Amino acid sequence: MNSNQINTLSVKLLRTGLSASEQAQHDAWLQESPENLALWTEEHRLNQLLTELPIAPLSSNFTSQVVQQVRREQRPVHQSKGGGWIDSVRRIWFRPLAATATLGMVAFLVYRQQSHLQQKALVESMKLVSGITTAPSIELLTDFEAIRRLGTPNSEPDLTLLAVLQ
Amino acid sequence: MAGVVDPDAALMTRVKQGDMEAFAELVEKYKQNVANMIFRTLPDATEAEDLTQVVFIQVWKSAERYRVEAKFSTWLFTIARNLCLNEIRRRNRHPADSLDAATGEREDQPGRQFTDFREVSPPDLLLRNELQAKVQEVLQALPENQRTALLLFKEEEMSYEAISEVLGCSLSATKSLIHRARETLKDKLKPYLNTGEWP
Repeated sequence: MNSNQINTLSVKLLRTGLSASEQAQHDAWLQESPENLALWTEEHRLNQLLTELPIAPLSSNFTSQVVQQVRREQRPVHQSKGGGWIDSVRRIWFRPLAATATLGMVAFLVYRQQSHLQQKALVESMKLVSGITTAPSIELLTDFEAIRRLGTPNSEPDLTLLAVLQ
Repeated sequence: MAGVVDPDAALMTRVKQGDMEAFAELVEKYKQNVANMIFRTLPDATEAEDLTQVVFIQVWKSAERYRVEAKFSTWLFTIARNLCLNEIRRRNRHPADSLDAATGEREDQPGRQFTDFREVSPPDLLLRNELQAKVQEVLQALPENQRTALLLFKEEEMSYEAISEVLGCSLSATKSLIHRARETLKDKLKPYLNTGEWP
């Protein structure tokens, strides 16, 4: 048996033990070279020591403790999952929404101010116009013929009407 | 081998979907193996149990990242090893925090468990316990990667390929680690291994 084979047997011994054929091979090897007996005994004892190492003590309810712990740690995650859409609205949309609302408010105020100014200007111009244009006299408005002529488009100047208006 | 589904991978698929029963099944199946591995590194029973719990909680939290084609035990022991390494680093940074005074065993848990030696006479039992303590000590003194490689090989019966995956090294490096671990153990335990008795 070469050193490779011996090593293979040592490794097998360390883990699963030897099969019948391997044991026979090993016995034959030891008979051929009894000086290796000490070496093999060492291997055997080392294996024995490692096999007899104490097992780690665990609580009888270890599994349920782990499951409980996982459930405890999971709860806040689930809670945040439950209110996830509120959180995401808060976290992701709050700023854009606030900015849009502010912008909208400013735009509305500007628009209101503009329309207020426009109305004011309109009133001013109407006041101006009303100052220039005088309404026809009461006598004219009672004259049916004159009213009829006022609504009739005519290329020629109505001298009578002009005279009346003056 | 098409059609053959690793039962652990099937359980992990359910765990990914939030199945607590499947998770409990995995914990039940692997708790002792993980605890043993941690206990050989941090030989304080309470700390080993706590860290084992952390390992499984991490399994639950990382379930999303588990790939079904990967062997579950390899993934599990990678997590266990990483947490052990973190703990060792933490201890090195804050040696005072170490809970090595192993007196803190909780009331609600059984005491340290040893092989049942009721048929062994008290002096022999004492010697055997001493010997176990010595082996534990020598094992602990091994470099972390040698110890983990040896334990995964011996106690978990993992393949060289799986061990190399856990350790993140090549196949030949894994074989070499196991070999060196054995040689160191033989060297340190020589007095016993030669005579069968601890001097």
